[in-house]
Amino acid sequence: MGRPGRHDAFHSDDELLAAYARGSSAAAREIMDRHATGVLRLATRMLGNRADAEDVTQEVMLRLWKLAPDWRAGSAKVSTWLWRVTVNLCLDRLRRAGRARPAADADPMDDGPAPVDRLMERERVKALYRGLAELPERQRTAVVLRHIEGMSNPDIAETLETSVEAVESLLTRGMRELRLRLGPRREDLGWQA
Amino acid sequence: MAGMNRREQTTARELEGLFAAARRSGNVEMSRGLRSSILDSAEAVLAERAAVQSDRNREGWWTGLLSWSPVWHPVGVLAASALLGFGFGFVFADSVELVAAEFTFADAELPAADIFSDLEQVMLEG
Repeated sequence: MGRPGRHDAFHSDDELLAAYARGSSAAAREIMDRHATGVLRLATRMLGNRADAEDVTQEVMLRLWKLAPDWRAGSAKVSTWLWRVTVNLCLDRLRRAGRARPAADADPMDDGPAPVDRLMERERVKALYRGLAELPERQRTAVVLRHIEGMSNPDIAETLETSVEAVESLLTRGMRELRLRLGPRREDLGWQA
Repeated sequence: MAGMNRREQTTARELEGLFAAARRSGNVEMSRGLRSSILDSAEAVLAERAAVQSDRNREGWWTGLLSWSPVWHPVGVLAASALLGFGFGFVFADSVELVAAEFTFADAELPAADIFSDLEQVMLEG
């Protein structure tokens, strides 16, 4: 999730969290720089809505700040914990809103006008998200984490609080479903019929 | 989906192309407002924690003080009782001598009343 930070060579996430728990604001800034963008990106992909994603990001980071004094170094990766909380909060939010899936027509990363080729790519991405939105919740989450966020299967298993075997099964079924659902939209996707 | 032919199904390679496009489109930027909000929440949590810790320390100080206070030891209890008894007697007795009589020192040549005579004189004059 995190990009390399300024103090990567000197401080692990665990160390930074411990420093924050002792009162270091600089450590909080570094943790935010490393992880908050990733949280926001995942939340945006899951919710399809930037404003909701920002709310989730704030909530996730607040929970991390509160947890910091009780964080047990080495027990889990901070990034994995963040993924898990983000996924759960997003799913809770989708359920509360009465929709089990993200807004399929929204382009979660839409950020204004773009050249024609970018527009075409954006349409393809929209089509992908529409297909993903039709998948069952856990399949969709597993596919997004694996194929878009680039997480490893063990990390996904930890995030979804399940076994690696279950993740592999979710991915297999999710990808099969996605292929079936995107098949009829080949033209939208710019693929040869 | 049953009956769909193989051509209609997207290939893994085509799907990977879509995922790659999704990854490329995933460059979200944190707004300044969101950043400052997150940092503010970090500061607020630190401040709240410091306040709670301060309260705990204060409570701990009092608890420690009371637990170690000589008042809670038998000798301390006796000493405190004697002091209180003397205090009440001194305040409510009609005569200082009555109080002093209670505190006559066994080994002293003079009764304690003599010790308090100057004080009695001052009080009577007062």
